[in-house]
Amino acid sequence: MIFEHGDYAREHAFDCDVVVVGTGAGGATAGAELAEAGYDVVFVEEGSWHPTSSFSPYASETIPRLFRDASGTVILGTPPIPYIEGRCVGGSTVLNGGMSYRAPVAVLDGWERSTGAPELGSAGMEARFQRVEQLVHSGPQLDVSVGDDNRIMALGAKKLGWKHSVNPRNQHACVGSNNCVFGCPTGAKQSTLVSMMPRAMRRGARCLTEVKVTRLLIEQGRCVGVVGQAIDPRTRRASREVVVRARAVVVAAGAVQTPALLLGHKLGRPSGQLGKNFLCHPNAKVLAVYPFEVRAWQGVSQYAQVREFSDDGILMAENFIPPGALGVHLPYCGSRAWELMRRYNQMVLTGVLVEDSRPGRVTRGPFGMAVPRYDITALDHRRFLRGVKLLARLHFEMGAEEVVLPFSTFHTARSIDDLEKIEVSALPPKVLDLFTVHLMGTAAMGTRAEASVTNLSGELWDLPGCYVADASLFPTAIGVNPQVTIMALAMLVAERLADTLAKSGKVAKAAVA
Amino acid sequence: MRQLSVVLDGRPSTLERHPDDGFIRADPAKMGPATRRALRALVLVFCPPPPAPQLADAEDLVERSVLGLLPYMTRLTAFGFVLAIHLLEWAPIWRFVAFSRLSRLPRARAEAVADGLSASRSPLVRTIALGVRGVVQSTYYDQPEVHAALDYAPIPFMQGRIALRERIVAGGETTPADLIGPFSEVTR
Ligand SMILES: Cc1cc2nc3c(=O)[nH]c(=O)nc-3n(C[C@H](O)[C@H](O)[C@H](O)COP(=O)(O)OP(=O)(O)OC[C@H]3O[C@@H](n4cnc5c(N)ncnc54)[C@H](O)[C@@H]3O)c2cc1C
Ligand code: SF4
Repeated sequence: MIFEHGDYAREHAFDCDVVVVGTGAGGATAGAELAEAGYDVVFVEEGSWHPTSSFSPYASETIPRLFRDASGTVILGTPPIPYIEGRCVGGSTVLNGGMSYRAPVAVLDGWERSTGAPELGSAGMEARFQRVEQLVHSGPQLDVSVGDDNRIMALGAKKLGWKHSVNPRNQHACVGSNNCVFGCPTGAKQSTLVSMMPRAMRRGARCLTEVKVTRLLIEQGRCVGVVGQAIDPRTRRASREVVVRARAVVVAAGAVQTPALLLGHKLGRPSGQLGKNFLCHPNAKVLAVYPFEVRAWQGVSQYAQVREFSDDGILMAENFIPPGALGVHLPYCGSRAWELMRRYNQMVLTGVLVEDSRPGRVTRGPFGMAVPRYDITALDHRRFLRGVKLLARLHFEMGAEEVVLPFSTFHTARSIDDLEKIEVSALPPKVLDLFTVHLMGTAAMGTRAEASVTNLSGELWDLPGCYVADASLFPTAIGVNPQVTIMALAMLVAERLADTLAKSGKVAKAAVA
Repeated sequence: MRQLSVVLDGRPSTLERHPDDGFIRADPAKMGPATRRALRALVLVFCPPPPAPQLADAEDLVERSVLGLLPYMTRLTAFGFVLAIHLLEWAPIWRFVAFSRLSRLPRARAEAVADGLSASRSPLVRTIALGVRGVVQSTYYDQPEVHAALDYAPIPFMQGRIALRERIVAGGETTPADLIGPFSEVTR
């Protein structure tokens, strides 16, 4: 059952075995696993429920529906980095590109070494990865989904002798409608809205939408529920308190909102790490204009990646978006913007993603607002310049007539020779125009209370009964797209929580048909 | 309250601009007359002149869009957004480039000043420029007249892809006619 704002006038106190805050990659996965294990699960989600049938390519309708703060979210620092998060049932998975990578073996084995926990190593994670991939239908694309921007990237990489690999994506018969960022209109993308949430709901889970959790219920040193505010859809103001009492609380509000919520209770004291270790895989857009038709809005977004430089922490991929979304990112206005946009059908939009080398921090600001801060390092700065230069070169090799670069003081390159101007001394970090969609690491999992925020069950060291099951758990950046790893860790949390609940004498409810 | 059957109903999209999914849009934010005037003036600078399509109601559209988005932002962000509208309108003065509001400058000059803001080395100045301009341009480039001028027709294309997917899921074969492109010699 899905509850909406109007329902809380009748019912605003709930009891369950497990309350899960958030329905994104982590929350929906943990909740589905627990519901299937027979536990009574209640999800609390700040956003609304939007079915596949409502998704469209129109920015003005989609942004208020699906994007946190209507996309007005920025990480403070040098440079400031706008970021996107989903605020809807399915969370950011509704907006994401569907790339389904496991964290690399080296990263996982590093986690195992640094924490001493074999569960976090590549062997320990294997079974959960397999299960996630099967549940979200991770696999290669059908030929009919491939478009010309995908082909250009593949041909360019081949020409330059670069390693280029087709992405596994969580999709079932994706046909390349290219609307991933505004919600998949065909139902092919296996966001948690269409994969994990239905699993949980079939087992009787309830989902309280349009409720923002504002605090935890703590009694005698134990977390026993959450308190939220139902948000009036017309005024967007808190209109009624909603209380959910539970035997265990799973917080999965994403790596920015989760620490903000927990910091409100001054948690994370043993290590002081809550909110720290904020990682965000910043990326820079490189927009190429070709002298021929590409029609990149036809064909899947993010079909493949250039992985030639992945050992140096640099990935490249194509990710085309509708004009209403591209309009936001243009470096020009008025006639110059039109001069560029009128060639929309000749554009290829690509990005350089850089693996973080130093984390930032999320703190709690005025009105309980999450305030993320992050400064790129000298190493990341060099990586960006290198990545952008290489990616722009690929476009020129493929015949691009113009490449729009992510530097405020150097927007347009018209030839490979122009790229020589991309130099560390000429383009300091503050002139980079970055962007991000991967937020991680603010409540890191570990085996030592003095070095991590949660234990291997995802339970906070200093608040029994309170678990984290989202991207916050990452001990380090992973250098690849995170959703599969988030889901696998959420499964680990759910398995262990189910064991704990079972041991504490609770008999799982019979599954609801 | 929505029942399980509704939740599990995986129907593909109807692709409507204003889908009927039961979502209640927030009441538009209120805006003072000075901010409103400044915003409407900026629309004329940021939306392109001919030969780009001219929307009869561009100022109304953008105003509606901004007022419709503000309630979804945090109070601080919404406040920053409104402040940015005024800062942009007065940018020629605080940038020391002209003793005039942005919207009172000749169009080409106003555009150059606005583009100068996004070419600034100061991230703060860029952020001021990009937020407001982003919403104006997003609204403009989201309109059907503009889509037509760009030769961007997502709805028939997506309808075709939805039908194709239904065929594939039902066990049908794909044919070469289902492939997308190639649209040029380079990708052939
Ligand atoms: C545009 C975009 C493209 C991406 N592309 C990819 C990709 O191709 N591959 C990949 O692996 N990853 C991708 N990602 C990243 C991936 O989607 C996220 O890393 C992942 O979804 C994060 O999972 P999460 O559970 O931590 O948070 P989310 O999925 O963001 O879910 C958090 C949920 O919690 C809710 N919430 C927050 N605060 C509260 C509160 N106080 N009360 C109640 N509810 C609350 C939110 O509304 C949201 O629904 C992309 C992300 C975006 C935005
Ligand atoms: S390309 Fe289209 S069909 Fe494929 S996952 Fe994205 S939105 Fe869905």
